[in-house]
Amino acid sequence: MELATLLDRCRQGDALAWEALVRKYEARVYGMAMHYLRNSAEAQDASQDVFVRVWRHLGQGVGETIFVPWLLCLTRNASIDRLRRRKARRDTAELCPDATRSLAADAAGPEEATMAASRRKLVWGALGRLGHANREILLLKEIQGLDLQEIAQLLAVPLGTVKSRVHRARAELARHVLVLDPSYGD
Amino acid sequence: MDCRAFEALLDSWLQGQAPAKELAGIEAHAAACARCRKLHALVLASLSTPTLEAPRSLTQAVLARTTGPACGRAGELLPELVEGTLGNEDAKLVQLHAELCEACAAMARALPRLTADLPLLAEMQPDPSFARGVLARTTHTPLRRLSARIARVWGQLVLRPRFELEGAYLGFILLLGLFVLGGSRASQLSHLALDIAATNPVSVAASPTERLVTSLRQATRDARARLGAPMPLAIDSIEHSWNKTTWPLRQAASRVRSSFWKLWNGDGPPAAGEGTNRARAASIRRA
Repeated sequence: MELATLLDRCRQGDALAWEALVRKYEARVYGMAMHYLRNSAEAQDASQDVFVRVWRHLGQGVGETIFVPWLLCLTRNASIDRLRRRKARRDTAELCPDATRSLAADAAGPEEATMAASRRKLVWGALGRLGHANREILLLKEIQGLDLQEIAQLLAVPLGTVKSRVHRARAELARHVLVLDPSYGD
Repeated sequence: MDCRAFEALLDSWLQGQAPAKELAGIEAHAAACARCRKLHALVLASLSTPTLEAPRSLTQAVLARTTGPACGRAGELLPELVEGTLGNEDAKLVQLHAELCEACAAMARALPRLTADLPLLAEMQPDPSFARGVLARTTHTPLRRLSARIARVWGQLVLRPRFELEGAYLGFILLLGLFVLGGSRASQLSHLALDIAATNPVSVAASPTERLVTSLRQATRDARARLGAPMPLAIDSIEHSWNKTTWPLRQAASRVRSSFWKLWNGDGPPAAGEGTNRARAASIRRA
C-alpha cells in the first residue's frame, strides 16, 4: 500500500493501517535510534516515543513527501533528548542485535551472509569510535540516505559545511575500519 | 658566432632543427672553440645513455626533507575522488600518490566498500513485541492513557541527573516553611512539646528505651486497675528481670546526663525527683 493511502487511513482512525505504518518503519526508526543510543532497550523506548508522537500529530496533515524526513527528525530529537538525560556510553563492543539476521536475508548464500555480517559488525564497531558529529553526519547521509539539503536544514548548518563534514567523516571512518581490519576493501 | 650563441643553438642543431643560415656559423665555431666542442660531445653522450629509474625511496626522502608526506592532503581528497566529484587535475595527482602509497591505496579501496556497506545499517529489527507496545500506547482508553502518561513523566523526572538534589532542596524549603518561619502553626510544635514534657511524668531527656519501659509500666498498671486482679506472674517476672538487667545501664546514663547538664548550664545538675523535668523544660525555654 502506498504511503499516502496509509497516512490517510491512519488519520481516519484505521487501526490496521496504523499497525501497517508502524511495522513498515519500525526497523528504520529503531536502527537510527540504535546508532545514537548504542543500547537496545533505550533505542526501543525512544522508538516507541517517536511513534506515539507521530500518532498524536497525524492529524496535522503531514504529507507523504516529508513524512520520512519528519520521522527521522523526530527520531533524532528523541534520541538526543535521551542522550542528554543520561550519559550514554559509547559501547563499541555491543553487537548490533540484528546484524546477522538482516544481512542474511539479502545475501545470496550462507558464506556470503557470514562475510557480510562480519563486515557489518566491523563497520558498526568503527562507527562507535567516531565522534558524535561525524557519526551523526554519516548516519544521516550514508545510512539513512537523506540528501545534503535536508541534512543542512536538520542540523541548521550551511550546505558547504555539510559537504565537508561528510567527506571528513567518511575518511575518518575508513581509517578506523582499516585499523580494525587492514584487509577491508580487498 | 660566440659561445653564448652556440649554446643557445646547440639543442636545435643536435635535433636537426637549426636555421639553415646559422648552420655554417655553428659548425665553424665548434671546430674553432675547444670548450664548445667539449660541450657538444657531452650533450651527444647524454642523449645516447639509457635513463635509469630512481629508487622509490628517493621521493619519500625528498618529501621528508621538504613538505612532509602528502597523505594528509590525499586523505582529504580521496572521498571526493571515490564520489567522482574531484576535478581532473586533482584526481590525477591523488591517483599518482595512491600508486606509491600503500596506506592511501588501502583507503581508496575501503571507501567504495563503505559506501556499499553503510546503507545496510539503516534498518535494524527491534524485538517482536515492539509493534504491540506501540499499539498498546496509542489505542487504549483515555484513563489508561492518562495513567501511562503520568507514569512516563515520573519515569523521565526520576532519570534527571540531579533529581535527588532537587527533591532534597524542595523538601528542605517545605520543612523550613512549616516549622521555622514565623506564623506557621507547625512552628509552635516545639513549644507545645516542651509544655507536654514539663507536665508529663516521662523524662524529657530520657532515652527511647526508658520511655518505652515507662509506657509499658503505665499500661500494666492500667490493665491491673481495669481487670481488678493481679497480673500474671510472667509479666511481673519479665518486668523484674528487665529492671535488674538494665539498672547498671540506667545508672550510667543518668550520670552521663547529669554531667551534660552541668556542662550545659554551667552549674550543678538539676535536683532529682519530680521537679527534674519541669526544671529541665524551664532551662531549655530560657536557652
